[in-house]
Amino acid sequence: MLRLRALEKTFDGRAGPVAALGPIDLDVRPGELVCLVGPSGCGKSTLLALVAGFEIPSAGSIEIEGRPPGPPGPDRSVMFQEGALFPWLTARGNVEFPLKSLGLPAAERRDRSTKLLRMVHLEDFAESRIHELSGGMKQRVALARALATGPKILLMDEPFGALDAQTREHLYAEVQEIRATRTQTILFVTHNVREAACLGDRIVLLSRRPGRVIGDLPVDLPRPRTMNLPDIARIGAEAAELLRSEMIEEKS
Amino acid sequence: MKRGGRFFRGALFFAVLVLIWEAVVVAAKVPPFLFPGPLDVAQSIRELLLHQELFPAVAASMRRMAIGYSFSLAGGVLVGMLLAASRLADETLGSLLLGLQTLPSICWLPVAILWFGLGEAGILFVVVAGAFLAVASSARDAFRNLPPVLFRAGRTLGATGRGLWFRVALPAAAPALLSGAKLGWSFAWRSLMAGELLSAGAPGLGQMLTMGRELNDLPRVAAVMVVIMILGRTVDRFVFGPAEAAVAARWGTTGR
Repeated sequence: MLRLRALEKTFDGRAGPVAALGPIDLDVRPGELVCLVGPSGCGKSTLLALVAGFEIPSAGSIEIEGRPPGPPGPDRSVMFQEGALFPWLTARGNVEFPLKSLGLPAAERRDRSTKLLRMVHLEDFAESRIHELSGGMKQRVALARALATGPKILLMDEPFGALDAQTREHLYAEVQEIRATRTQTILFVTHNVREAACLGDRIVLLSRRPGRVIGDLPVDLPRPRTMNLPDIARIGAEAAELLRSEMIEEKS
Repeated sequence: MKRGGRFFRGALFFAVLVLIWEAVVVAAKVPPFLFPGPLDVAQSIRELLLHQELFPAVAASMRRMAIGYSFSLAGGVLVGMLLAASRLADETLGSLLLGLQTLPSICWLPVAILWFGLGEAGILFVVVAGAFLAVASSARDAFRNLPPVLFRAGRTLGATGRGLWFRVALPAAAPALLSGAKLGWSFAWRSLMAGELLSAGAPGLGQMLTMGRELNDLPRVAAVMVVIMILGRTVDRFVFGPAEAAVAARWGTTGR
């Protein structure tokens, strides 16, 4: 489905080029939910930006179903840290925005947006303005909007980082429901190891900048999972330990 | 209740102001041709209305505003968008516009007169010269200051090229564009008055001011000034006020 080969990204810093990411090799199967975990500044958001098409790789290749991804488009949806909802539109208007890009007629847009908003349990807030919604509701609108066009890949960039624990728990349930009922391949970036253990089919651990893959943990636990399961804590601790030992190694 | 209270406070303030004005004029015994009192001004407004001078002048001025301002607004926003979208345009056209913008609009009047003469076209030229650049440069900044994540979101949601600018950037910049539009309005209004004052041939409020001066009729001049003030406030209240309220309701920013 998604194949990264020797992928690298270098930025032009003030004091010359700065290696931000890679080289990275990664294969993601169709429908898989892969969590990318690493310390802040390890380039995990850069990795998403490369797959999304916002950034061009400095070296290596990205293939989606055997083809290079090309410019950003609705086949790869992105859910941003802050939601990046459009405040001049209602919740429904936001969900319908990508459908309008596709040129769907108004009746069908309405039909689809109603279903999508029901999916994230916001059918009663369809006509609300963005500023009228809570943080968790905003991210649910963003999720519905990201799924509106039926993308092949959903890229999630620490989407729940700004939410309180309880709201997050609700959204974990929703993400798992989407994984169970829809076909999207999901790349989920986080720095929270337990969140990764709770959501992921696999946890891919990245080193400090420039981020490289230092661990690949499968998570074979039944779903739906919640954060307080002992197995989640165990796998989270395992992942954290791997990250820690690699930091120490790097320092010495 | 609260709204009524605010209106009442405002009305009371102006009533007291007018009373003090009249009292000072009466007490100091200054003749109206040196310092007209409110009664003299009211009398002049009445005369202008009775002689059917006021409304045609207001209509002529507002018509020029409508043409010159809407052109400046639409053109300014589009040029601002171009400058924000293209680095090449910004480095060339942008720096030229920035240079021209430092010219007070009245400096364009000699050019306008030489090119278009003292009539309608000349005044419109000055209005556009005054407002267009102000709108364009504030629109450029409005678009430039948009968070990049909005553009990224727009692109992943299928908006490309022009769609990105008109479906995402334009509405996203609306609050900032609105303050640019207000600025443009006040620039256009000033330029219009300057143009009308000096090109006494074309009927309008500015020309009425010039006439008042030529007739040595200060109450009349003051009357026209009051009318200009009232017009300005009216536009603020009934055009920009509701526009700002609409933006605030959408964005959830309650003024202040």
